[in-house]
Amino acid sequence: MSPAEERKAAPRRLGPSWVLQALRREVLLVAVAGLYLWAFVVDRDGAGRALASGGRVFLSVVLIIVSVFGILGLFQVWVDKKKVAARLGERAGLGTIILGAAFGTVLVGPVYVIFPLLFAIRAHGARWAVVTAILTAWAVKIPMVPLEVQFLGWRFALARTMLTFIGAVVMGFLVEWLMNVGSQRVPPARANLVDAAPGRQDQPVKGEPGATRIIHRRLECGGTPRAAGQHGEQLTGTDRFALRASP
Amino acid sequence: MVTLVAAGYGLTRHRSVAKTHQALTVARKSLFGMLPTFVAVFGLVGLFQVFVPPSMVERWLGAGGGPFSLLVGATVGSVAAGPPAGAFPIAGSLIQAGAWMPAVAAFIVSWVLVGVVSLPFEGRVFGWRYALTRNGISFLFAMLIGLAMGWLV
Repeated sequence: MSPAEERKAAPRRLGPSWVLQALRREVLLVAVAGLYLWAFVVDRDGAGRALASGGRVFLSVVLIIVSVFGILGLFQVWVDKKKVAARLGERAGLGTIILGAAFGTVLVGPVYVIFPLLFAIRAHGARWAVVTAILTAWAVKIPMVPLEVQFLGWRFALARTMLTFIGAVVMGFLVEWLMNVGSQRVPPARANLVDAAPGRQDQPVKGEPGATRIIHRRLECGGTPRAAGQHGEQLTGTDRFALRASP
Repeated sequence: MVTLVAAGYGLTRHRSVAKTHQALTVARKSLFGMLPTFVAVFGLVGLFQVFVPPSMVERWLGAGGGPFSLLVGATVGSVAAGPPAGAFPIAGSLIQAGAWMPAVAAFIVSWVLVGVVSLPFEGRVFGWRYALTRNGISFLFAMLIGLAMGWLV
């Protein structure tokens, strides 16, 4: 992020309730700290030993953690999400679903970035099978594999990665089939889009192309896609509307 | 490991200096963003090793439990919210304490695939029908993958 953008982002973090926000963001840390507090009261010695043993494990993998994030950074910057997303939106067969699963394995980012990205892929016309395959393969986490090897061993990591990948493709078909069983409902993609911009889009949108159009417009509103894309956050516009879609 | 990653950075730097700097920035930011969670996870691992007796792990996640252990593993994984990187240390200490490997595998897979906490967000973005279908199927697959792991490993 450039310094100018950092300055722009800073005031959001320094809101009046930032302490509360930080507490909510780090629920896990607060909970663990609470547990330690309780442990110190109940069993001082045990709590000390727990702290020491946790610290030992942490120190033994700290270098691996640093490298994992190094890989993460490389993937984030060098995998061109926009290009792959466009390709995945095309009319798709098994090949595209497998490509989607492969894309999912190198995809990194938190839920609130990945979901809107996938939603955009869906709005580009991708089948549910493709979306599901990406989302499932996202669980493979190739950059995290060194950490998994460290804690669970090679065989475990390899087997889990392969099974999850195969599972991603199978689940893609299964979920799509379940989505299509029964009545032909309004595709959720479209419904959400219309909700997202009530003022801008009064007429009901017919079919996916319309949905795509709105997404493009949203992307334009959310800043230049190119500039944002450099940080792996090219879907800030979509992100924003997805959040706004909730009342 | 570190050398390998450094080499990767060196290689890509050859192609584009600006992009490599970006990658470094992304790496640094996500590392520091995740640091509190890592501290919490390793704190939890420590507590776990000292205060949770292996007999308890044995009872809930042991090989003797069979399908029950599998179900417990997948359920705990679904409810637990956190970055996937956090699942591995916890899974490691579970195995050390004598948990059944397929149950631990189901725990990891459902930790990353099924998100009870992120379900409302998923429902909002993709529609509830999709969110519920996908999470339900993922839960079943977590157990299936766990079982398959038992055969493979």
